[in-house]
Amino acid sequence: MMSWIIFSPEFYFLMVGTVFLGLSMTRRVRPEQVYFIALILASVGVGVCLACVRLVGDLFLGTYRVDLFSQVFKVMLSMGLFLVVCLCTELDGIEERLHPEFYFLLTICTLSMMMLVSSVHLLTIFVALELSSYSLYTLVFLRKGRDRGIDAGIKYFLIGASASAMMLFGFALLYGSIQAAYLVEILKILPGVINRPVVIIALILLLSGFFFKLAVFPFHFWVPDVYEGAANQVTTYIATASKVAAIAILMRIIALSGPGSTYLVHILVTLSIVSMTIGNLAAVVQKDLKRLLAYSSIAHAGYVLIGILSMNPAGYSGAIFYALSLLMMKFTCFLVVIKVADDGRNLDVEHLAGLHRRSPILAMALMLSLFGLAGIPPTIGFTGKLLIFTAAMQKGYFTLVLIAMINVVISLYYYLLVVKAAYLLEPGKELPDLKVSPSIKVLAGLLIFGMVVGGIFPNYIIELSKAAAIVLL
Amino acid sequence: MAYADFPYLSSILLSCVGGLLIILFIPKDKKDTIKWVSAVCSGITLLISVYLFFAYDKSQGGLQFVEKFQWIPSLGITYFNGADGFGLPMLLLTGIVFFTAVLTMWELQTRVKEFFALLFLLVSGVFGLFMSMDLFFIFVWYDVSLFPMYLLIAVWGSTRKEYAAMKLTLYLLAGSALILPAIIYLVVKSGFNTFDLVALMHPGTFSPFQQKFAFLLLYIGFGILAGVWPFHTWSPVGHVAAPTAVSMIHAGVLMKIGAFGVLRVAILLCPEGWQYWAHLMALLAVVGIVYGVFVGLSQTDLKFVIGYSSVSHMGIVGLGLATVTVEGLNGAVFQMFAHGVMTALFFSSVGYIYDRTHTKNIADLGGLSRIMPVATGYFIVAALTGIGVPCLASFWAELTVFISSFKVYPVYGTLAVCALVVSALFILRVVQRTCYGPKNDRFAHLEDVSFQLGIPRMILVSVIVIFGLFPNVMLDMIQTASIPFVNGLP
Amino acid sequence: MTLTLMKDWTFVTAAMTSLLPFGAFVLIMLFTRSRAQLSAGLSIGAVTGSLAGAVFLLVRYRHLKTSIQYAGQWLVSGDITVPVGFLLDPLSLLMLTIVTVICFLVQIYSLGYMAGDRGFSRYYAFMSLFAWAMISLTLSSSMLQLYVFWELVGLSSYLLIGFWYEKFSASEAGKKAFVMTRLGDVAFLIGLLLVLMNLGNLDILKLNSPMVTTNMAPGLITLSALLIFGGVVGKSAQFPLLTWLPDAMEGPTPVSALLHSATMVAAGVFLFARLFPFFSHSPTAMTVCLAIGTISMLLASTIAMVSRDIKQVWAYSTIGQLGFMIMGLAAGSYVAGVFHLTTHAGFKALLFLCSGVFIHTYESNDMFEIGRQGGRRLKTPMICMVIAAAALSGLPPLSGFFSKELILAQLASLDNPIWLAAGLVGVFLTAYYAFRLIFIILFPKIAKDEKAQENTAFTRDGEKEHHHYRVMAWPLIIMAAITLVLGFSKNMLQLFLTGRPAGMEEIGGNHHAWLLYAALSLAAIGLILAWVEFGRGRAGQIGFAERIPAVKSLFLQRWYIDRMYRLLLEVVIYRGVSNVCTKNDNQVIDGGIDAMSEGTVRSGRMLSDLHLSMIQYKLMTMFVVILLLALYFFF
Repeated sequence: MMSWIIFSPEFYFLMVGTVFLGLSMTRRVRPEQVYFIALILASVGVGVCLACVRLVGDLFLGTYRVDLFSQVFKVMLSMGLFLVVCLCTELDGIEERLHPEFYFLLTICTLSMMMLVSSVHLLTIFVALELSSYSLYTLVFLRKGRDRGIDAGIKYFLIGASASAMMLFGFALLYGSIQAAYLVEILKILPGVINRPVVIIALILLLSGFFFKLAVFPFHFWVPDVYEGAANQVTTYIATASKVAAIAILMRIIALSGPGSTYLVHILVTLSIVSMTIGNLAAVVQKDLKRLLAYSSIAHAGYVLIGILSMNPAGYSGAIFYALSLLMMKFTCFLVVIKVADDGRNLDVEHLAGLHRRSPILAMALMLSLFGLAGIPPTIGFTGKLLIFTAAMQKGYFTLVLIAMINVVISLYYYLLVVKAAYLLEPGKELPDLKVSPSIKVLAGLLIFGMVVGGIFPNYIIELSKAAAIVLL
Repeated sequence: MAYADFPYLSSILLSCVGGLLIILFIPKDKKDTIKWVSAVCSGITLLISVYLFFAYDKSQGGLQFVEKFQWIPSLGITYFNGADGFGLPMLLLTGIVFFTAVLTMWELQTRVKEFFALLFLLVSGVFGLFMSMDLFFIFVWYDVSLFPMYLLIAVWGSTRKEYAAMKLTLYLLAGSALILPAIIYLVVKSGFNTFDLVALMHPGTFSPFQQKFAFLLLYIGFGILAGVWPFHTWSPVGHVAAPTAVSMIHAGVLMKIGAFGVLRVAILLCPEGWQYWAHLMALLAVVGIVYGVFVGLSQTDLKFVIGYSSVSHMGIVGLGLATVTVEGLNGAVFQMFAHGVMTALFFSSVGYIYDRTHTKNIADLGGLSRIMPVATGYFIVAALTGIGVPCLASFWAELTVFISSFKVYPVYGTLAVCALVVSALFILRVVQRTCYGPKNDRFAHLEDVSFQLGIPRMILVSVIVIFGLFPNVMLDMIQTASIPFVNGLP
Repeated sequence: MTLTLMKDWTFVTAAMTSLLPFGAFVLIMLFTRSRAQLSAGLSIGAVTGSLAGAVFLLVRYRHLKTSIQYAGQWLVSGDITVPVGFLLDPLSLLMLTIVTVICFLVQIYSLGYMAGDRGFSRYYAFMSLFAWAMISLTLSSSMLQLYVFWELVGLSSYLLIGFWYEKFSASEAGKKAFVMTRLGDVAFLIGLLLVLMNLGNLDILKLNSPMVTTNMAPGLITLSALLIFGGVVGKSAQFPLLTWLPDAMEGPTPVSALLHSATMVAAGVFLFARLFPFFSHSPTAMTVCLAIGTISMLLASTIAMVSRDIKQVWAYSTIGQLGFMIMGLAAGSYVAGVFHLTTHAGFKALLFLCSGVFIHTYESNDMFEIGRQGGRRLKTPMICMVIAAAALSGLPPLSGFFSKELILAQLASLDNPIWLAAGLVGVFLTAYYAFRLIFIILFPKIAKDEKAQENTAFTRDGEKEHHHYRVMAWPLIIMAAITLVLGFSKNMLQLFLTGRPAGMEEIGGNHHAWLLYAALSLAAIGLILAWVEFGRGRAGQIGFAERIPAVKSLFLQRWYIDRMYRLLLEVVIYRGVSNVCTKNDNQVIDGGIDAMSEGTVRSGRMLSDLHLSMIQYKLMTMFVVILLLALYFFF
């Protein structure tokens, strides 16, 4: 029975889920209380994950692997959940009576992603992925003012469904061709047969499911609409936690192909270049801040792919580091979005006008996170890019790095537009100072601190991600 | 390589970053406190840099005041600061310009806190770049010194400020888009897994091809910031838009970062690439020199004139670097220093005039000498330095560059010398149109530079004159670095 | 090293001589700008010190055989060294004396002339700056050092010409002077660099030593000599760069006297004399110089014949006389050129100072105006001016006579007679325009009604004005005395300069005995013609040149040289190159960049519009892309 200890994070979040399920049955609790409960439970969840970070073991006949890699990601995921919950003080994007459901789905989604990052059997992977996807679809629907949410939800669902269909087909092909469903076995066989057409096609198809999660071209079409349509908090969650999980599972799968075939690499290079270019170019002209961030996250999916397609320890550890930095920076952006759009509406870029006076700390947080996304030192974003690019350069992909840098310059343009809005533009009518609660101020301060320190003293995180990446190989 | 008994270099950085933090925690409305804090902190940096300049042991040479320890061992990144004959003049320059710039902005009233905070951020980047010997940190400092420019220009600037700010920032970061891949390329190819510049400088580390390849990228990347023709167009626009202190630092120090980067990273790491591309460098430099003065000839905006003159002067720096000789390097570094001080003086006096008359349009000005003799006096001194009058700092730099370039590229050398005539013509023309002429009644009510506002300009003038009368103080310093390097070339 | 130098009196004196004015300059600029009298005192004290030093050196080394040289290093950068030091030889000592004497006198004179001017201190500061630069220039031991001070002299000239900067014409003239001399200096510098590359260093003694020919090919020597001569052309306002000097008369008259007649413009000739041995290595270069000297002399003299502005006349005559010196040098007579330089410095400064008095008193530059207001009533300046004019036109027994004779004799000894002819024509023209001016002032043709006003002339300003007048008068008298006696020092000077007693040239002089009479008679004819046309009672006061409209306009328009320059500047520089570069900057380079960013934004808009399309298209894209990727594997 000892070995069940290693399953405790998942247990814990299952329990949390049931709590909220119960709450959703009753109508007696006020939203503040729900928020309060959620906050406590989520923070405890982070603690639990941290406590279990060093555990190692297998479960369910070896279909479920708990190792440093998975645990690190679980910590990130729980952190993501916690942070998102922190932002739910005024949850105006969602009708009050649905709040418990909202938290319930959020928890379940997190749980499924946790299972995703540590499942090592095709079936478990599929189950976990679907579970998370479906909870996300529902979350998108919850947006107040039906039409918007529904529109986004439908698109999300259609694309997601077709993507997972492809993935399922891919699984089938793979299993049929090499009679192995355990990743461990696949890892043994695949490098040998990597150049057989059926295997390659299978790989492409099954990768498409994860590309969909990570919003890589051509599976990125849902991103702008969903980011725009979903409630701000939900968008935050999709932009942070689900991306992290996607990165994790994508690494697991790619790692299977061992040294990898040139063909696979070519495909990945193409996809990464296309998605970062599309993302950055399209983001240039966006007015809605959430839509802009959506396109930027498509671009970032491209950057992450660079790290993954290098298929060397440096690349994987770089990707892990990048996932963390992305989590922090994206979250900071959305923190500002949610706080400025306090009535849960969508936020246009010029609505940021005069932010530097209305709330200096938020303005500063926004600026730093944007510069971080643009990869300007001394922020954590720069370190992540440096790691990834170094990895790619070790493989000799000079052109790829150059293109990525050019993309960085393009992206800087629209990030600067946002900074300009926050620091230069003066609002048409005099706006009052934002009411930012001390806790949020502290949170913003911590995030600023984290982003800068992560940029200046990244040593520990780098070591950790290296250790986690070793597990994959 | 002599380790420091006391972390002088880091304390320069510390006083910048510390100043930044202190300012961040001073409430907005305490403007004078903020100004005093920044004056004191910048003064400290100036004092330390002056001390280092004279404490440097010339007889021993090499890197001194070295501070070095592991930063990110897994990537081979070390916190490695050191000062040598190339770095110290730049540190001194930065100290001077920074201090004077802070004093120049004493009258600033709008968003004082943010302004000085950003200024400190920028300058700490500059200082860091001049003293760092680790590629990672060089790049980090490079970017740190760039992106505050955006806000500094866009918020406090004047004409077409947002366009200028955006153009400048994107342009320069496009440069860094070439630099970072090149740096990573070198680090990876070296196989040492280290960003330590000194370790990478070890001859034979890179194959000739790698050197040529990386050098070109680095040269263009840093050259953009050095205003190398045809990548110069950001700089006049930026100069014009920026507020006084920022133009001072921008033209005085930031453009030197570019040239210094070419020297410190590109030339020192890829000497063979340097020799291979030298002719191209010389060509671009000479085009810049001649082109700059001719464009400056037909400008109507005071700051544009100065902007193009500094394009031309930076061309002289480039020409010096392009002659693969000791004299060329000496001249180039000296010119960086001299031009830095000179443009700082230029912009501080122009800034004073602009703040009073609210116009930079040459046609509207004129007859100012009668109204504000001292202010225009400073302007005229700067102008005379600009046209290379002897016994003012930049004359010697230009002379040495001309002589050395004449030896290597006679044609280019001749062209560069001939540009002197036109530069004299256009700068004197501006002086005449702005300062001379009958008393201008529109501005008759304006008062002259007060003593305290005069202090920074006096400092700059005295520096110009001192190094103009005793050029060897500077050249001896530079030679400690240039002679061993050039003699060590394959 | 330094200590031993400190003990060496010669060195100390030389250093003091050159550095005192610099000290004065710094002090005035820093501290006493508001205290006019104090500034003047400082400056004059300094220049007096220099004068004493110069005289001391001259007397001590009157029998100097080998030149004394002190050289330190100003700047060392790799192989380049810019030495700083003193070279004491007859030429430099002589020039030093001339400079200091005239500086001294002019500064005394300025006490009166500039009295009450708003920029009094500034004036004396610049004067000291000039004195420092000029003295150091004469004492320079190497060409690079000489070049440095050469530029500084140009600077002080710029500052002094534009001294009254409120007058547009003044600042314009200053700018013009600086830029045009810069033009020459660039050639000068390039020439120096050429020599430097071949010789290794620019020590003057090395340049003059015969071993130059071994290190440099003859063609190279010619080229570099010509380039260096470009510097001379610029500074001494020779053809084709002569148009800045007349404009330079916008400056205060003492400045014109000091810089633009006696010393600074003579620096060009001094440079020529300095490198005389070097130049004489290349006959071609010498011939070119000779030609240029001749052309400038003739041009200048013709223009001087028609000008109404008194200072303009002297300016052109300066150009002419400088051309004359260059002719002398280029013809191969070192002594002749230098001797004429010396005498000319005296009488030309005198001429300017005299006209200064007139201008100061009558506040007009127009000679007819001055004459009408009764210029002849100012006895002292009138007499001095007559003496100086006589000297200028080479009448015995004044200094000009001897020096001109020497040059003419040298010209006669050339095998090509045209030079001599030109020289004689020059003598005639000089005498003519000099006395034209004198007569116009001396015998004004006054209408009856102006008589009354004439009587009141020069009594209006009262006592203070009179005081100034006296201050200004003394230097005139001293200089007139010098002009009277200097001529007889010919042989002494010759001995001093060459070390050989005056022998050869004398014989040459006798050889061309007829030449003496020819020159004298020509000068006399010029004088008489001037008398006929301007002096005698019923003279129409219209010169023979002015009777022919074409010629008149040609002369009045300064042979259209200036016009041509303006045109060139306007068309080629401003509208041509500069314009093209600017357009390129704005439209090609910037335009390209802006277009690039525009394109980026436009493509971005297109892409984001694509993302607004209907869902089924998106799904289709997905499948198609996957299909393509799969297909890609099979190729």
